[in-house]
Parts: sequence; structure tokens; C-alpha cells
Amino acid sequence: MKKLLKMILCDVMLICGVTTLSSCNTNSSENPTTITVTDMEGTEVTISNDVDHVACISPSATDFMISFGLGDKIVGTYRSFTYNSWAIEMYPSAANYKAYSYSVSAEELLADEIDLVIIQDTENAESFRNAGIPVIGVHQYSPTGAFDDEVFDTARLIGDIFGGDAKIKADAWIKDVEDTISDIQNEIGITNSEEPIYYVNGEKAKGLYYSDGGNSMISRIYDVANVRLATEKYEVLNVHEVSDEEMISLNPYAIMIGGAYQNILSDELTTSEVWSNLDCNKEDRVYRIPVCMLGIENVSCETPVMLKYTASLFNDYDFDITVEVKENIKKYFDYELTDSDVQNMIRGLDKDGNDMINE
Amino acid sequence: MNKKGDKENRRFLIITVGLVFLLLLTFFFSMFIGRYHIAVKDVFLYFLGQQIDDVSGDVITYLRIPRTLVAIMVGCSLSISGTIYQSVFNNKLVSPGILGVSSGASVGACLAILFGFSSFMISFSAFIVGFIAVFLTLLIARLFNNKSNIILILSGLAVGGLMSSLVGLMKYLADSEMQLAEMTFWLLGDISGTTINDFWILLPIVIVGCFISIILSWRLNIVSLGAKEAKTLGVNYKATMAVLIVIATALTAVSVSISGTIGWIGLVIPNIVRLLVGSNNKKVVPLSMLGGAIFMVVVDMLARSLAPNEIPLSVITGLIGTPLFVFAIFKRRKEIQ
Repeated sequence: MKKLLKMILCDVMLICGVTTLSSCNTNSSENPTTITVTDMEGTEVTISNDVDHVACISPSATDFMISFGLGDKIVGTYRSFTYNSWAIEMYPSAANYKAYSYSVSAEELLADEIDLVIIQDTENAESFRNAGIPVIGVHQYSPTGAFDDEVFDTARLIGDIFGGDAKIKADAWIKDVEDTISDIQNEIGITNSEEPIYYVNGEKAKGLYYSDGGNSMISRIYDVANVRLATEKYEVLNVHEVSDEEMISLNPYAIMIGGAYQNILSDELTTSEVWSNLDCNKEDRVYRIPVCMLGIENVSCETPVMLKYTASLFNDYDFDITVEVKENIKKYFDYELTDSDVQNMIRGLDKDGNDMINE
Repeated sequence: MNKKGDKENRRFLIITVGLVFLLLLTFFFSMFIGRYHIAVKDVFLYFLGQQIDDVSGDVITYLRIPRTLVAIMVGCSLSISGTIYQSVFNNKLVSPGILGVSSGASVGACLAILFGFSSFMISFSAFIVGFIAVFLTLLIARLFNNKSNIILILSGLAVGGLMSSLVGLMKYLADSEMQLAEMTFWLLGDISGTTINDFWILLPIVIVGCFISIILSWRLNIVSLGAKEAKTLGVNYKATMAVLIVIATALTAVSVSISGTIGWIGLVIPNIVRLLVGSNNKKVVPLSMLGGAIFMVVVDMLARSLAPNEIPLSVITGLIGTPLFVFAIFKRRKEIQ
């Protein structure tokens, strides 16, 4: 009897031990202490799964993080975001974000107890990594070729790193963009239009000749809208600034001006003697790109609106910008815009109708 | 002797006429060479007052004519300035920035960029601080109570070093994405944004500077012999030196304030001209004017044609100027030894 009891006890202990051990394994695979992801530069980055202090030095990634419910994890962001009145209006805590530049030092990040850096310009990434801070490189362009699937990478990476609700929201945004693209393509078809559209990147005060190359997000947007980026051939040279003569020789069908400086640049363009005789100027084909938390031509929650807006400008595609902007902002930021708000966004202005420049 | 003199004068005349012709030719080439294609026929029609397409007309009127005229003014000024400094200091390796005017102008421009001033204020600030730097050089030289030119050159080097440090400080303080790029481009020379107004600003100063330089070119020969010889020959050494240095400084300051710092022209062109006509400044001064203008127009054509974006002027002047300078030294190696 004693022997039998001992055997039963041993079996119970064995079963308990195995169960405990196997449950430990399950826990470790379901909630590992680290996660490894590959960033947009192809670098494998291992990150702790309890990231809580993020230096999100990319307006695009900041837009996603706020929308995916991760805004409270952000310590600081790229400085243009910190004085974007729409960002503060829609997410008031953004007013407390610290303003970082791309050249922020590793020491400053350590002092801010940062445990993850998400950055567009990875020039200093090595020094951050040497200081023990994981770095995720995200871009508005593809370092290797056309910017196709990379459109989704910033959102996908944020979803993978933070998991849970953020992952669900990231996947929903990806599906929204994919559905928008197929909806547009179903309606307008896919053609190889050669109409060149000159894009002015007015995010910074770099003038009318600052644009993007063929491997950029704006080029991808133009592909969907069956037009082409006038400066697409410069992806090889990675030239973002063309000369005045080069721009004129491109003879664009239309011009789209984006960013916070769009109103100044638009005035400059319409009054310039050099630009005055271009067909696109004479025939009123100079368009503004709405501004939200960032210019909507950037990879962001506003991408579906930008895709539809661009398609509607150059194709027979029905689109009510006021309705779409309102719905999109409600959907991703749970914020109710008024008609006047939307009009200001469309004209690249802040809520009070002022320029969004902060110098 | 007379025969030799006649031959040299004839040679000078031929070279002068040749360079004038070459300048007109490069000006004409400059009207149809660029990233925007304009047919040669259209350029002819434009200058004959005939109608050409609007965009081509705008490119010629608002882009190519202003920048070509500015290039002529800048090339002319920097070459004369180099010629004067080299003769005054009796050193053929001296460039227009020797007394700190270029580095001073750089400080002025960077300061204006840092405070977000307009392009006119950038030029104005460059001009003023360029002059302040030269004044500082003269002040330091005066402290030594030594009339040697070497002291003046050493003071210029010291002020140049100080100004370079200040430029470095301003680059450090500048916004890395906007102001720093603008400063860098300015420091490497750029006339892409010039308008006809810049030409009108340069024109009177360059005309006066060139006129006085030509008038004083024979005195420049005497000054280059030294104070004693100048006095013996009845020339007021101090006054002539002062006038020549003021002219050279003004020409450099006004050019640099419009175009940014452009290296090599003031160093290379006078030395190449001396290879052609010898060291007589009566010939070197006018030919340097023409040579500098031609060189600068060619450099500007390359800067705007080789790439979709503008290439900084100093990059091209360096690439062309270095072999030319080595060639000039090689040809005069015996003289140097």
C-alpha cells in the first residue's frame, strides 16, 4: 500500500512537473521577453516586448502610433510634428512631446530613458545601437527600387513590435489602403499614362525645386492614379532638388504642392516670371495637397484619402473630399472635423486658418 | 627693342581681340546651353527681337541672361582682384581672399542665413563683414608697427582663421536640414538664384573697379617693385597701395556677396595670362578681366548643364583650375627656381 501510494505520489509529481514545465514553455513562446523584427533597411532588430519610452523621430510613424493607441508611449518626435496644430488639436498630449531632430545624440536619448528609436534618417543609428538603444529605420522611399509593398512597412512594423490592439489596427489600415487601391483601379483601370506631374515637397523651406524621386511614396501614389512623377528618373541619382531649367524642361502636365510651406510656395509659383508661361500654370493645373498631422502625401493614416484625391484630379473618379477627410479622421483618430476644419486642411492651413509654418 | 615692343603690342592686341571674341561667343553659347533645350535659331531670333515660344523666351530673359551677366561680373572682379593682390604683395600665389575678405564675407552670409534673412540681406551682410574682416587685418598689422607686407599677409591669415572658426560655429548652430544646406551651398559658390537686379548691383562697382585698375595698372608695376623703387620713381607708395587694396577688396567683397565664395579664379587666371603676355600689369589687368569673365561663364554653363540639380561653382572651378594652375607653375618653373 505504502509502495502504491509512493508510486501514485511520484506519478502526480511527475505529471505536475511536466505540466508546469510545458506551461512555462508555452508562456515563453506566447509572451517572449524580446521580439525580433527586420526594419525597412533590412536590419534585424531585437526589441524588448515592454517598450514604453519611444523616440519616434518620424512624423509618419508618430501618426500611426497615435492612431493605433500608442501615443502615450512616445517621449519625443520629429520637431515639425510638435508644432503641427492639427496633431495637437486631435491628440492634445502631443503638445508634451519633446522635439527631436534627426541628428539627436545617443546621450540625449539615454538621458530621456528611451528604449526604442523609430527614425527616418538612420545616419546616427549605429551610435544609438552602440549605446544599447534599438533602432528601427523607416522610410518614405525604397532604398532598392519602386516603393510598392514598403508602403505598409511602417504600420506593419509598429503592429509587430507592440502587438495586441496595435497589430489589429495596423492590419486594418493595410487592408484599407489595399482596398482603396483596388477600388480606384477597378474604377479608372490601369493605364501607362505618361502625363508628368511635378511634385513640390514643401515640408521644409527648400523652395520650388525640392521634389522626390521615383522610389518615393508620391511616385507610388501617382502610379495608382495613372500619372507619373515628373522627377521619377532621379531615383538612381537620389536627387531631390532639381535646377530651375531642369524643372521647366520636364514640362509638367500639372503641379502638386504639399507640406507646411505650400501657401508660400504656391504664391511664389504663381507670381514667378519663369513659371508663368508653363502650360500647367496658365491652365490652372496647380493643386494643393491637404495637410493633417503631416502632409497627406506621406505614408500615414491619411494615405487612403491621398490616393482617392490624386485619382480624382487626373481621372474620372468620383470623390467628395470633405466627406472622405471627415470619415477618415473619425475612423483613425476618433476626432470630429467641421466643414471649416476640412477646408483649412485642404488649403494647408491650421484650424484657425493660419499658415502652419513655425520658424 | 622697338621691334620687340611692337611685336609684343601686336601680340597683346591679337590676344585682346581674341578674348573679346571668345567672351561674346561664350555669352552666345550660354544662351542655348542648359538643361532646358533652346534651339540656336531661337537664340538668334530672340536677339533679333523676333517672337519665339514663351517658355524659351522666359528662360533666356529671366534665367540665362541674368546669370551669365553676373558670371561675367564675378569672373572679371575676382581675376582683377587676384592680379592686384599678387602684384601688391609681389607673390604670384596670393588669392583674392588673402586679407580675409572672403572668409569675412562667409561669416556675414552665414550669420544672415542663421537669422533667416532675405537673399538681399545675405549679400549685404556678406559685403559688410567682408570689409570688417579686412579692416581687422589692417588693424592687427598696424599693431606690429612693421611696414613689411609679410605682416599684412600673416594678419590676413590670422583673421581668415578666426573667420573660418566663426563659420564653423555658425554651421554647428544651424538647422541641419535647412540652414546648413544653404550655408554649404553658399560657401561653395552659387549663382543659380541671381536676378538682373544682382547684375545692376555689381555693374557700377565692377566698372569703377576695372576702370581704376586699368588706369593704375602702370603704377601697379611700380608698386610691385617695392617701396624704395616706387619712391625713386616718384610714386606715392602708401597711397597707391591703399587705393589698390581698397579696389581689390571691394571687387572681391561685392562678388562674393552675390555669388558666394568661388575659389581658384583669382589665383589661376592672372597666372595663365602672365604666361601669354608676361608680367606687365598694363597687359595683365585687362586680359585677366576678359579671361576671368570667360572662365566664369564656362564654369556656370557646366554647373547648370551637367546634372539635374546645380553643381556648386567652386567644385567646377577647382576641377578645372587645379590642372590649369599646375600647368602655369610648370611653364614658369625656371622663373620660380
